[in-house]
Amino acid sequence: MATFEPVIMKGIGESDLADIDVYERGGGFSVLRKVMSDMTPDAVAAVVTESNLRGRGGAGFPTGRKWSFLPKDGRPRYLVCNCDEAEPGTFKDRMLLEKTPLQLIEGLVISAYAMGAKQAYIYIRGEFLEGSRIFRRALAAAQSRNYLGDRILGSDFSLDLVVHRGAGAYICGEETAQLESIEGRRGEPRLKPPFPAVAGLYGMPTVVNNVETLCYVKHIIERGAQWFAKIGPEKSPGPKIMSVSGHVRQPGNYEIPLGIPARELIDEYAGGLLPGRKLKAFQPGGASSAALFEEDLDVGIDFDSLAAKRTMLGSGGFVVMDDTACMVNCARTLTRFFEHESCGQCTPCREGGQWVARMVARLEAGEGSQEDLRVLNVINNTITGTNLCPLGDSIMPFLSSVLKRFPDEFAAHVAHGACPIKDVTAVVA
Amino acid sequence: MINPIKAAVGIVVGLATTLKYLFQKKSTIDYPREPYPHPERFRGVHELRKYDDGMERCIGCELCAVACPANAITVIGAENDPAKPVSPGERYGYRYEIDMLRCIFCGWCEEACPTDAIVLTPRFDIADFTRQRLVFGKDKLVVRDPYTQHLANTESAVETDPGVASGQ
Amino acid sequence: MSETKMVKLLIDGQEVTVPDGTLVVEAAKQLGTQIPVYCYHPKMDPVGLCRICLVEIEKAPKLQIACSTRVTEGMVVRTMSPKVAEARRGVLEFLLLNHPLDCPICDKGGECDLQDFTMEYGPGASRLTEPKLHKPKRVDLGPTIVLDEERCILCRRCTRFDNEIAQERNLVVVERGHNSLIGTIDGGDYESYFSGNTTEICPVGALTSKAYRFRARPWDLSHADSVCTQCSVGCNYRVDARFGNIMRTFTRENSDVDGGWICDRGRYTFNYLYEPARLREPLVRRDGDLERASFAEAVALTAEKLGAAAAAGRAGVIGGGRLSDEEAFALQLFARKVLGTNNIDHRARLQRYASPARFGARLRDLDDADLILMFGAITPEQAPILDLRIRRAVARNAAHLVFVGPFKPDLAVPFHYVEYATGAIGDLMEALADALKRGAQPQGAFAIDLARNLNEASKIVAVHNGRNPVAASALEQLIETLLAVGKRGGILVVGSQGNARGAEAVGCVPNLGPGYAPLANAGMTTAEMLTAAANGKLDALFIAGANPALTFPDGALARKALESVPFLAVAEQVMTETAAYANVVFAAASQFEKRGHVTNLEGRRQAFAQAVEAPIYVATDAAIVSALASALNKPDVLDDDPDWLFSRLQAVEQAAKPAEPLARPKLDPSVTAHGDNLDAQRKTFTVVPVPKLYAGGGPSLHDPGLAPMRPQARASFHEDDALLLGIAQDRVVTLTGPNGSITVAANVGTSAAVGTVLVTADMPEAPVNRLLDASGRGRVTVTPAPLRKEALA
Repeated sequence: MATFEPVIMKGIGESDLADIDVYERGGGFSVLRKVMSDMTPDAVAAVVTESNLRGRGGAGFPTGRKWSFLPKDGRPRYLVCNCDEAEPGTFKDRMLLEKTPLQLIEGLVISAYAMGAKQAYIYIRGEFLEGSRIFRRALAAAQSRNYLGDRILGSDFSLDLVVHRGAGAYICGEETAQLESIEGRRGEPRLKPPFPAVAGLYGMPTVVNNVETLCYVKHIIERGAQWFAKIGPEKSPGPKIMSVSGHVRQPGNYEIPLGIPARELIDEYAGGLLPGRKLKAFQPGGASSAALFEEDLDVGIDFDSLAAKRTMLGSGGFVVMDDTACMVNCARTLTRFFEHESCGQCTPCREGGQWVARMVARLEAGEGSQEDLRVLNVINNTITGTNLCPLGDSIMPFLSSVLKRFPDEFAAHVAHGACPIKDVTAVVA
Repeated sequence: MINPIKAAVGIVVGLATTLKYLFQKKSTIDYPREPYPHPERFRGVHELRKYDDGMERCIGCELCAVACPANAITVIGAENDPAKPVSPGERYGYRYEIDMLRCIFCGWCEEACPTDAIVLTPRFDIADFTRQRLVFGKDKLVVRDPYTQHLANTESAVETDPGVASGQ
Repeated sequence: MSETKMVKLLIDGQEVTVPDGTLVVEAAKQLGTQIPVYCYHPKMDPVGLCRICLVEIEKAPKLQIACSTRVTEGMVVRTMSPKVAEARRGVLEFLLLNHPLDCPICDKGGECDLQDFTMEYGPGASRLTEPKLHKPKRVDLGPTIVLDEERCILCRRCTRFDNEIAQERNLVVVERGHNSLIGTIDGGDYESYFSGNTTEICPVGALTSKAYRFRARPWDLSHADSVCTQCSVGCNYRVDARFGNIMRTFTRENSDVDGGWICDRGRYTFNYLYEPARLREPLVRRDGDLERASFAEAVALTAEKLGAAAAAGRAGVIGGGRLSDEEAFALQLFARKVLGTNNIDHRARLQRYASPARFGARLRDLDDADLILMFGAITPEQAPILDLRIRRAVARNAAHLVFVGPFKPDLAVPFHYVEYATGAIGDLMEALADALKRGAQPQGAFAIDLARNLNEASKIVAVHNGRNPVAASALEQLIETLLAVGKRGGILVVGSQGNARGAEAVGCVPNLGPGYAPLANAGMTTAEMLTAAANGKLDALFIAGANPALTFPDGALARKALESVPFLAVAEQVMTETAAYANVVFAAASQFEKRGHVTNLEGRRQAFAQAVEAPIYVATDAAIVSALASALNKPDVLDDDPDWLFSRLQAVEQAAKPAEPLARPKLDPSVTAHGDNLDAQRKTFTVVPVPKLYAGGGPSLHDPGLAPMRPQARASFHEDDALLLGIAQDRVVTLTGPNGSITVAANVGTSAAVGTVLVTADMPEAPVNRLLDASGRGRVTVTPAPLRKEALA
């Protein structure tokens, strides 16, 4: 079993951290008190910058730098907490929202204080009905004790937090689409530049941070930048929750120090593969990431090591596929997802995504042709990198990686007229 | 001096040729009582074809008119009444005229037609007494010409007609 | 303002210098390098959706879209590299995947961006091997437009036009991803005065106009550069004809005038020419009935009667606002030089259009105005394209829009409404001028508000309809005061007829000759001529392109005059209420059937070309008056050649010495009364005529294209008054004035002020001018029609 002491997952499953009394007894809101009484906003921001915390939502942009982009021109600023977690394979924000909402509120208030935002929004995914109820209760409790609202804890700082629930669109996890959605329009990514830091929500400077990022802010202030910076690799330090799912014995959320090898996450944290199975592929960063394979098991789980392998850490959705998984079937599931969730603005994502999904579905059904495989092998060039937002660029990575690694499996679907693996498993069973 | 023998031989040879041809098959025909045999791909008067279900193939796209080097074709399109369509799809040839006096029978209209509606039949005998009557309208063009019976009409409208496949 | 910084960049190895912040696609245009675009439109904000404009920019990790990337110093752009070509091929392949490829029957085929770019950059064939996906075809989007969802490439130009340019926010994208469709926000009809523009900016054949659908292919059409004369804005457009019949009209951008848009009234008003109502030959009244006659007979009869009346000094001429500048000039030459009278007037009231030069605003002035005052003119209804500028100024530049008038109009952008009774605007203007000049506090909360707005603004443009001379001169005073205190601005007067300003400039007014030269002995105004005719003091009237029976404020007087004048000759395109009274009706050519110049409301004189030939017995107004002049033995005065007339006009105008300030028209004391007093008892209601874009009795009545948009004549009451009168929505009511009555259906709401009733103006089926006096005001009693039994049940 792993030895890393959880940071933001501490206490989850042991006590009801959504209860404000329980949370306070465990030292909750002490950091906020300290910040409000002793620290200037700039000092808070400086600590976060020094810690080199990189955003946990997927892109991994340094949080301190993101905050520093806000122009100092006296316009109102907004902090938006992105809790529209809809990436297949990722389920960490949901846990944080439901299990430690007060930790999130504390981190959020500290962050808003650091960047000088008087108005904050939290965008909760539409399907998180229970989570939003828990969060609202926690919010009311925090407000009643003046951790939020007018003149927080007697300081000059006031913060209002609006809970905005999405309506179930994956694209609203993209920051500018989320801003559009909060403004009451169709959730569709905006053209960048201007970036949200310059013209975001209602045209004002806005920072969009992930739930997990904000939670870590609290601990960075509590334990100091150096504590955080010393965990894991220098360029992408700190702990990170990985949502492990798929063919492992103990799927679930695990907080790991970044930089540990994938093998360790699978074997030590998630209990290893099911007996008698062999690893076939794994996605380190959710549905959008390219797959890695057996030979990549020693690659470190952190932003830069994975980027070097042409995949990404993303939001930490670690999906394990063993030898019973049909890659065509997996690709079909994911391409179907992206086809369905495309907002329809950009041509390559809208039309290309739909085309790819149809081709892969046909391949899976055994009705594909060699021509389909030829097209799938080259279409990456025209779909990836030609879109407004990253959704379009997420369609191909997994498909391309498995197509390259397991060309025979795809060819077998064409030749066989059906899935060869399913036949095999049927025989075994 | 004329050699009488040579002359006589010449006459005999000449008459022999005449005599030979007198009994050979005639190379002229008794037109119009006898039909003129056409080469297979002779280009004559046009026909605007129909599908087997009675729908007109012409969609009034005017591509034939544009292709026509003699400017002999005039097409005016109109919108089909969905309840009583003339052709499959949204548009049909409301007016279709070919000025046969201008036509040079080059067949480009045939090439241009996206629905194989206009075809050139081997018929050529269209002499008439006024110019007006040689401007052929749909009344003279939309006919089932015996010469085009061999053209397959088997393709369905849905396969060949753009704008039809959408399930109008 | 500091000078714009210029930056240098390389596009495909060619150097170009453009202002900093220019979009790459625009910079490339300067070099003549075409970068294909679909979603990008120069008039709208870039959105970067279609991805066809991807270009390679050095130092950028991936391809960038040229439509939203702004130039920087030393940028190196490649628009033809293999990477770019591959991306373009890819995007085109995607766009064509499920495109129906029904180009042979598509209205856009031949002028379609998708066709053109596919030919130029696209892949030769599609690799799609399964059936195409289908979407609805022939979707009826509204009264003017049919949508083909399958052809749509979702570039969203139409929805953005509706949001950004028209500010109406009705067209939207519904559904998501590849299921996206264009639709309206509530699923209802797309009704807009500007809907036709969407068919034009649509890069494919998805939006097609009902008027043009399947009627021609682009290569069939002959083009004529024309100018719209449906209102006084004078938008430039192109008239496309086939076989001598007009098929459609198309914008012809003149950014100073129309900004590249035209309204639906201008776009679709031409099919009336092919309706039975169109006059195709002269008519002469014989035994009480108008019968077909030869042109020569009509001319001979008219010349005889007009000549005799003129010899006795008892002739008059009305019209000019529908004619071209040349023809209006010919008309006044005819009146002055042939008939020897100054009795010529193009107006229904005492409008004056040309503001003295220092007050005259340009349409462009609206763009950067920070305060726009709308007095009386209802710009969306009377000058739609001018209203687009106002919408943009308000929505984009945060200009302040103030509407002063007797009711709250329906405007697309937020505005400040100042309720003021019909005749009292002049008082308000004077009070405001006083306030600005002397710092005096005007009376009334709105006046104080307005004075504050005026003080805060730096550039003020007033849009007026010029109908109320008192208000007009008070407005001039106000603007003069504003200019005196160092502000910028001016006045735009929206004309009642398309070429009203031109008719005034060439001298179709009783007190001014061509070039605004004041005349010593002014003739009679329209009101005076009609009064004289009604009293038997006029023997003959010649009316060219005017319809006083419907548009003259005092309808009872107009009708009486037209009835009692011994001889009436009318030149018209279609049968009108006025022509029905005539002894001789000339069939006049439409604007499409002649050439010449027209002058728009800002005084811009624009040439228009002839698009089609007139029917054989139809003559231009210039030909009619010159034939009359010849018949009256003065053939040298006039010619029907527009070039001859125009050179004469220019010579006369150059020689003329306009009065400065221009002489005010003679004021009838009856129209100078200040303000209306509302009937406190609510026994009578003040009538307020409300203009509507598609109302009117001429072409717009007979045009089949406009028929679906034609408004219903309505009387609108304030809800309090409705309660008092016992009127519900749609109840039929009879409005009775001193001289007549009309019966219309009622609207109940809050747009009408208490004590007033708003009546749709210029509707032949319920002419509001039956209720008005010569000054345009009237009071009526209201009687609800008895409810029918079935209505009660």
